[in-house]
Amino acid sequence: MLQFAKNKEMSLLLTAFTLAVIDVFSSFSTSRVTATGARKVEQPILSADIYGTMYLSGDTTGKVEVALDKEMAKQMAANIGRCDPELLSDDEINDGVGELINQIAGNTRTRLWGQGYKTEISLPKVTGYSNLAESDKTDKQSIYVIDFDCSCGFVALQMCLRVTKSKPVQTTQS
Amino acid sequence: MRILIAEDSALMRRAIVNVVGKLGHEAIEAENGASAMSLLRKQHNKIGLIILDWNMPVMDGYEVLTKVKTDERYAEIPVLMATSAGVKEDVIKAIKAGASSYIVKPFKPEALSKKIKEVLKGSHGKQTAKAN
Repeated sequence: MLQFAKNKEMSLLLTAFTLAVIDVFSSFSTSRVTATGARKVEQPILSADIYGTMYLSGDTTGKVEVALDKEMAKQMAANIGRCDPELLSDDEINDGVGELINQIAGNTRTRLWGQGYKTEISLPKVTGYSNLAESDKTDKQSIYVIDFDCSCGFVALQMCLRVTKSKPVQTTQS
Repeated sequence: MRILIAEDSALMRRAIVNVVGKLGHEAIEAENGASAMSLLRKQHNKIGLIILDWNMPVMDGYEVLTKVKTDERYAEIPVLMATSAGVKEDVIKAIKAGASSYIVKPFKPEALSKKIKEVLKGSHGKQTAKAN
């Protein structure tokens, strides 16, 4: 488990999403994708071009966003559809980002269930703005940003999460 | 053979259609489970395989799977589930509901091609055994 937060459960959640992003991006990119660290922030990143938002329910709740620049989104969409990135429309790029987020959600869900957290993740919402507002924070929640290093362009994860089940039942990893 | 592909991402459908085409089959496309059921009602006699994404708006892949497997008009058509989550409980649920096989995204075209061949081979075997 990556040591992202002092809280063990939060660290586990951040690790699950981070490894899912690395897994999914690596499968659609020839560039190496690595996480460079996590930080607690007061305000989410608002300068990205595209945001893919997932909503969590069950043993963990909250919102997770993948923030991308357009070049990165275009490359990923082209790799999903196995087509020329320059021929993609904005709608197709958003469609590709939606599928990318869907796959990250599925990969994370598998990791969390394997750790005993029965978490459901919504279909992705793709927008040109962040859906993570400061008002999402409660006294027990913080916004975490995970930065990634990738030569294809900019990508970051930002999330505001809460574990609702403190002692998960350990299940066998599938 | 005609293969019905239900997948909400147009780009992902394009990738699956390419694989199906390279195997020499004809693809028909649905962008959600409800469209897939509508196409199935009209063309079920011509459809030899259904590839179903699990997470789709309107009607998800699991609901389509249960509808297909509980309707005698479609129950014999093999179903390959494609999903982004590899949770063991989901796999068991899909297989119990009658899915022939399961593939976890992201997958390489070669992996999907292999799965399609395996499912069709298994389905042909079952039909031959039934005929005998």
